[in-house]
Amino acid sequence: MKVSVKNIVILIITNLLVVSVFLACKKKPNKSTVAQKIEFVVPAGWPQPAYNFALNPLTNEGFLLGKKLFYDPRLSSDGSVSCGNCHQQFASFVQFDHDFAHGVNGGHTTRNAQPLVNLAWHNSFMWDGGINNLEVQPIAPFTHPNEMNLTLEQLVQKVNSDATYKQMFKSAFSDETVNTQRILKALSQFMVMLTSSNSKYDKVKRGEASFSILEQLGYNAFVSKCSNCHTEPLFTDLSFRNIGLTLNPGLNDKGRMGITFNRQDSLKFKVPTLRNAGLTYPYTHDGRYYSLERMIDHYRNDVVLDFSTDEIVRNKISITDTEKAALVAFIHTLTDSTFTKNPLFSER
Amino acid sequence: MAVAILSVVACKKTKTEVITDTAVNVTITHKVGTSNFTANTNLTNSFGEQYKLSKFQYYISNVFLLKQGSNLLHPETESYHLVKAENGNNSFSFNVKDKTLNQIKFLVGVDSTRNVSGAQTGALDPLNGMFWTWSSGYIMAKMEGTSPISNAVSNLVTYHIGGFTGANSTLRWVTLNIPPAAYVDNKININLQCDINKFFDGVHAMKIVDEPIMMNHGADAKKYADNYATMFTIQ
Repeated sequence: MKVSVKNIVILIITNLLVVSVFLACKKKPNKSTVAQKIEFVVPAGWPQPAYNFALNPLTNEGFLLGKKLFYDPRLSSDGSVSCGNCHQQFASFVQFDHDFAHGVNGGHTTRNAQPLVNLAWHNSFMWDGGINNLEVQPIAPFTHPNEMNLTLEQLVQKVNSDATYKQMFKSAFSDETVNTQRILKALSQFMVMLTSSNSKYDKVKRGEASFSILEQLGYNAFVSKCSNCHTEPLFTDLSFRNIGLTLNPGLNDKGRMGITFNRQDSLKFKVPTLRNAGLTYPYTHDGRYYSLERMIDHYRNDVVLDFSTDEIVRNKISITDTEKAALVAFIHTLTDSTFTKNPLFSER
Repeated sequence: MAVAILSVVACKKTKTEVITDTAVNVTITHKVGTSNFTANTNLTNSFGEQYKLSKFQYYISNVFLLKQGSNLLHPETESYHLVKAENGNNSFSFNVKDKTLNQIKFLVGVDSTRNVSGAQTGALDPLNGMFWTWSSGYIMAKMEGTSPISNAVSNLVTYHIGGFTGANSTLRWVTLNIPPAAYVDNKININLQCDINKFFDGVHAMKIVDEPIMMNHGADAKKYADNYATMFTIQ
């Protein structure tokens, strides 16, 4: 198409009109408990996020609604379990010190709760990657009989019967209508903001701090021995791998194979992030290792061979005792207290 | 945005004649062989197997009309319909700008894009019970009932057919010619007839006795999908 000067002028005028209409419509800032404008920021040097913000534009109102839903225990069959129960901020949003998380009626999950951190960059969710979009992820805990145990009808009904919620939906979505889509989009606005990018490691990368000698040794060991899977800056390459864990006979959990039905995916689980890993023990999909040291020892001594065991760990990983101590010191530099203590994400 | 505005400007000049809307009314009725379908009544498939259905639901999406041989498509916008056979007749309407269109084309199932695009609403609301949580994606067709020949608990018959990715796709396009009788005044009345028995024998012989329960994606799901693609005719 030939773009004439006349068309460009029309374009500019049209754009000016559009802008002025927006300016005219802009309301005065709403009363809000969030002082800052909710904005998603891609940290310098990070890849672009996987989450499609265009389909769910962030607003302060949407974020606040999502946060209220996240921390509301009424959204479970007996009113006792919120999302925040099993995703605790101080522990990078895992259930602290639990192999399996607790749900209603004394139920518990069959996999270790994963941290909610840097979710915007993830293209699959759950240990087996069965869920393909952050927005539909909360359906799983809401409806699981051992977690929050609601039907989606009951969920919508509970939210819809609360006058405060209806006001918040009106602020976030232009009218009071409560439906599954809006609940899930609001929750996603909260979850997608959970970026952790301000640990000591990040400060070192930005030139604002320096590693101790031990941490530097650990970082060097990490780069040569761990970073193939726990790739910077997310500290996961988001892939599914069999790290040579024995099959837990009580669970018989084959991981990724349960989704793809491909035998090659037997015992593969999603590579977890190392960010805030110092806070998220126990480790692995079934929470079998209670310390970083024990987890590292797995790679040194306990890898069992199966046809799908990852090439990278088949011969175990040679890590000296010194390197092990250094790795632990380095992993602790990935703890981000500005994230775990950020009042923006806090229940109260 | 620049392109869009320029296009609008460019199009304005060429828009000379006024084209009136033609209403397309699609009505779906369900049969079992030659008999009308009624939920919770005794039915018999072509293998002589008796069954009863409490539920037979499936998605029809991406509906459009076209003229045979032409690439110009006349789509229904936001075209997603959850058909519920047990509720009796199902219908929907939309407008096209050309009353000489002679084919209807639609997808049985929900296109792959909507399977990966997060929380949806309306016909695609996960609350409708046509969405898998364990492995995200829509159940394209759901059949639930009983059969005396089923060896499952309580003689249940349960088919949840899903899967939208390449090798596992249960999406099936259906193209049908619109008969002359459909054109009335400025309307196109399409009486879509769905023969439920084709679910068992349309292409592949899928006997209830062999597999009364199937809730998965994979090889068998694709066979049922091949079958459900043949269910439709226009009266």
